[in-house]
Amino acid sequence: MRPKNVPEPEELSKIDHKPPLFESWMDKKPEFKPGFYCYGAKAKNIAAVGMPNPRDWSPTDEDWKLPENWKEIFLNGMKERLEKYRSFKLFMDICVRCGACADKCHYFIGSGDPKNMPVLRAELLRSVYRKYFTTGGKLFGKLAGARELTFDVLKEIWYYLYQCSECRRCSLFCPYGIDTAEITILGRELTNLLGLNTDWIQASVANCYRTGNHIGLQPHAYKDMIEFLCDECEEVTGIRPQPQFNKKGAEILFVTPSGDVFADPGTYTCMGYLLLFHYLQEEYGFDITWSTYASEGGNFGYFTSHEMAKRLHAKIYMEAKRLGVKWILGGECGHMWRLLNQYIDTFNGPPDYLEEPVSPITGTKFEHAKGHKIVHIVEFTADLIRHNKLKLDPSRNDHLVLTFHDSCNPARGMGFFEEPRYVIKSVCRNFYEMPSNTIREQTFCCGSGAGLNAGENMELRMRGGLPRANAVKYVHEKYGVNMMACICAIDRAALPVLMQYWVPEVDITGVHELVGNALVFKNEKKRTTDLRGNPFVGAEEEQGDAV
Amino acid sequence: MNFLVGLIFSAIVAIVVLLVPWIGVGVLHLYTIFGIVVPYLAILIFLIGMILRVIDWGRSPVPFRIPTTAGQQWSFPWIKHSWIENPKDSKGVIVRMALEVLCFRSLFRNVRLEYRRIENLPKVAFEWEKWLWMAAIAFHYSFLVIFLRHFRFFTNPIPSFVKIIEKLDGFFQAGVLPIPGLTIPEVYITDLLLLAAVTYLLLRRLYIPQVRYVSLPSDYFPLFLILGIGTTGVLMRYFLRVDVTKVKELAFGLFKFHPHVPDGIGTIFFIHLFFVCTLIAYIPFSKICHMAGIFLSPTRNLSNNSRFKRHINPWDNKPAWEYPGMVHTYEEYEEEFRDVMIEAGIPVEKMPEKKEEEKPEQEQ
Amino acid sequence: MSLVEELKKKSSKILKKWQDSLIASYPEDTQHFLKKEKDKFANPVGYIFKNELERLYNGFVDEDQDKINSSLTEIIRVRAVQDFFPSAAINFILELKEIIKNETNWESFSIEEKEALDKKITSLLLLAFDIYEQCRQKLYDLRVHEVKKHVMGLLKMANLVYEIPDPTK
Repeated sequence: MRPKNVPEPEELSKIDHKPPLFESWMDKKPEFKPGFYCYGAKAKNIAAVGMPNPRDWSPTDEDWKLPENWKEIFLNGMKERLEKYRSFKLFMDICVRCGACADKCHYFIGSGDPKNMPVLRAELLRSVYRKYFTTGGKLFGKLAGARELTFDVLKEIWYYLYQCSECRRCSLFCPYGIDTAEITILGRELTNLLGLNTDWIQASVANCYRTGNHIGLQPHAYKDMIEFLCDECEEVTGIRPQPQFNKKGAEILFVTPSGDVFADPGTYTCMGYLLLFHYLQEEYGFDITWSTYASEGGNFGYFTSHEMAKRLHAKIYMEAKRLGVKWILGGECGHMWRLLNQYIDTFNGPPDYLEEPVSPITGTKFEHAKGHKIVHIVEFTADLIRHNKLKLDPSRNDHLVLTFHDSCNPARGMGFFEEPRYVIKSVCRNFYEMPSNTIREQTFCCGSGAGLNAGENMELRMRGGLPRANAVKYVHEKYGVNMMACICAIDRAALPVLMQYWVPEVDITGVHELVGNALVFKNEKKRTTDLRGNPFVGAEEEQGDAV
Repeated sequence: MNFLVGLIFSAIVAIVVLLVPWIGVGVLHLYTIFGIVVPYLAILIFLIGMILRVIDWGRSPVPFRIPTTAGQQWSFPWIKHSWIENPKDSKGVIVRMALEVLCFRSLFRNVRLEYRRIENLPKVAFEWEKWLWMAAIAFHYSFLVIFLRHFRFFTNPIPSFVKIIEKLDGFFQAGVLPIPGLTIPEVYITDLLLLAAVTYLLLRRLYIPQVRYVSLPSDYFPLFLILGIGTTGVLMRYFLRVDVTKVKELAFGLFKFHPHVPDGIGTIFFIHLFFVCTLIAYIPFSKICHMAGIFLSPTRNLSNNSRFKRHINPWDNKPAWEYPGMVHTYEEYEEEFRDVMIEAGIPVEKMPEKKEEEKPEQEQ
Repeated sequence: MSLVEELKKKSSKILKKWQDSLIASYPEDTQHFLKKEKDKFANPVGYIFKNELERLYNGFVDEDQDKINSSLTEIIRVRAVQDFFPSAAINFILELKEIIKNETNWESFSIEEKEALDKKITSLLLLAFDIYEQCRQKLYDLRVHEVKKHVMGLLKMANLVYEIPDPTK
């Protein structure tokens, strides 16, 4: 008996790929390979938010324990979404398969798996659409590119829907603006009708729902965690920030992804926020509160369904209303900002119990945010710097040579390019851009977005992140870049791992960690290290002299 | 669908489309059917089909504002706003859509000039794939010009813009040597461009494995039809001349709803016409309906204004908390965590009433 | 001509074949992209293979161990996260032998030369195996490291909250 996961003898010899002249992608059965999929959602996490078909299951099981009428559920779900989303209907119909998107997906670039081409990823679902919803497909079947929804087809759709990070890079190049992210989002909604989420997403959803943040920190633990970061701030700077929690009547509510609170290097970014708020409090009487209830800016519901996204993000407005704040400040996060920009007001607005955001320090009216009443912390800081409201010493970041990774969602779901660069250039003196076809609107994904940041699919993440890492490697070799800044919590979790595999010399930072390094307090102690405890340039010699 | 079967299938259908009028007119002399019934039917199918299709698309609402932003958002006055690539209002959207429709802006992003040094000589290179944009532009514009040129058959007097187009289009004829013994009329550059572009698009589909892999019969079929239209058109114009005045008579009749088929129009014309009719009738059922779809594409035709203007979802306009059981409310949350919150010094809405058993502890 | 001389002389031809055989381990639909897309940022896999295989070949012929190590690492690091069985991931080393046999006047070389080449390729294969193993090990390390990092903050905090005894009580 041959052990499992060992190649057949013929596979061992020359790998001979049958030319696909006589083979169609439709005939290939999906093969689940370890490292490329995440574990199935556990029953308790599905049940916790009242979603269908709660049971424990694994993608490699023969039996996915689907309801008997799963086909009907899937197809009815599809029909409903075709009627509710013009995007879905249109994108099912108008693709001309020109191939412009084919080589734009980082998963295709890194893996060479043709089903990772955006066009084919969408065709997996489109073929089912044609079979059941178009006359041509009903009449001509395969000749019209239509195929029956079988269990194997469902498995294949599932496998590839959870290999898409919803980064929208392909939609940039599509002549009709077909957005694979949109297809993936709606496709994942369909899988969720059958209880087919991954546990990494579903557990986070359940936690966010109950405790407000994705790791399931209870309120006191959340507060303690931040207090702990305040201690760390004090150790480095001699200043201890005094954050406020759930404070009624505060002027502003601060919401950030909870990853910033407990996972390195996001914690350093969080220390940056804390120091900045403290500075503003001391200098200008800034009044901001954290919330333990709305303690997750990230929205794992978005990787599940529109409805779940709406349910989870409702907490932000509900909490703002309860506390009676004037407006909301949002931390550095990728998909959170796509949601705040493109969805939240539609989901849960209008927030007419809030005021149009005005910076209490500079008096700047954030006119572009007057609808949803949420300001990005990087915009907020950029405005402060522009008005010379912060005393900054950029030389404290001289030990860093920086580049900036545009996170997919703020890039292609918002257009947030200049503000972070302005802040970085104000607090750092060594900054180099990566090649132009890998940044800004053409930025490459970290490879772990949209709920793919689990441990079990590490191979998928590493190869998906290769195009990004490759560009980092280039600036590392050319300019000696040793630090990449980003404005996304998933980036801060995923990119350090990616770098350790491909370019171990480069580390990852949030933008506000850099701000925290550069910020000069009146009564600070003599600072010799950055927030991570790494010595400033020249600090070591000085210390030596003193001794 | 494997590519050979797809190719053969669509080729067979295209050959049928060629043979039907050939036999129908050439052998069976069914002039009325192919000269009158078929064109009317095709236009009818096209119009109704297209209207139904657009209505069908339009019936599905746009619940969320999801433009793909390809440039800097509108924010501070001191940050340069990319008003076309990331439009904040309809002005930007109109320009963005115009660039998309007229210049294939998104497809153009694929075009990249590459400077390489080959054997130490700098060289500018296009990748084979990158010709896609050029071929697409050549194809669509040639098609448009040819379509406009055909107005000479439906109008009297011929509008001046048609004449201008014809002049420009025939501009290069001086460079083309007439074949001795044949009287060749002006050679239109668009005729050649169209055929070249369609051939390229077809070859590309066969040559590039990724594209071949995803191609369906419905990708080859329209290309064959257009190839058929182009070839018969070119044949008619340059080689197998047909009586243009009679063709014009037929066209006029069709347009004035007094159709009649004059005698003496060659079969080739009916083959050409049948190809055109098939294409027109096929459009609403095929991917070629992208020509209407692009205008409805929500990632392109929406402005990125959702931060300052509320986009309304027609099928769900209430916040989550107004539906029962959708959110975990603060009250439920405090109920569960009140004790630990108080212990941690986090303010709560409702202080618990002191319980009996707590008192002795406090006295200690 | 000695075997080594011939390997140098025919290097571009052998290398081309070798590169092709490496690319041939990918689905046919993808090979075109890997070969044709020349932009190193749009096609990192193809770029790495092309350049590092060249360095590897030169290192192999010149017996430059540093070059061999670094280039082999770059290639295998990519292979280790793609859809390959371990054997398939490093099989391209063995293909070099076949290519050399076909592209040179194989029969004209002495047995000693052939054996030496055989040995060299075998050791290259063993090295490739080691590197592959290191890459996989790295992946597992990263997994563990990531889990640790996720809970480290909580542990740190837990220590602070629960471990400091309050002397006043």
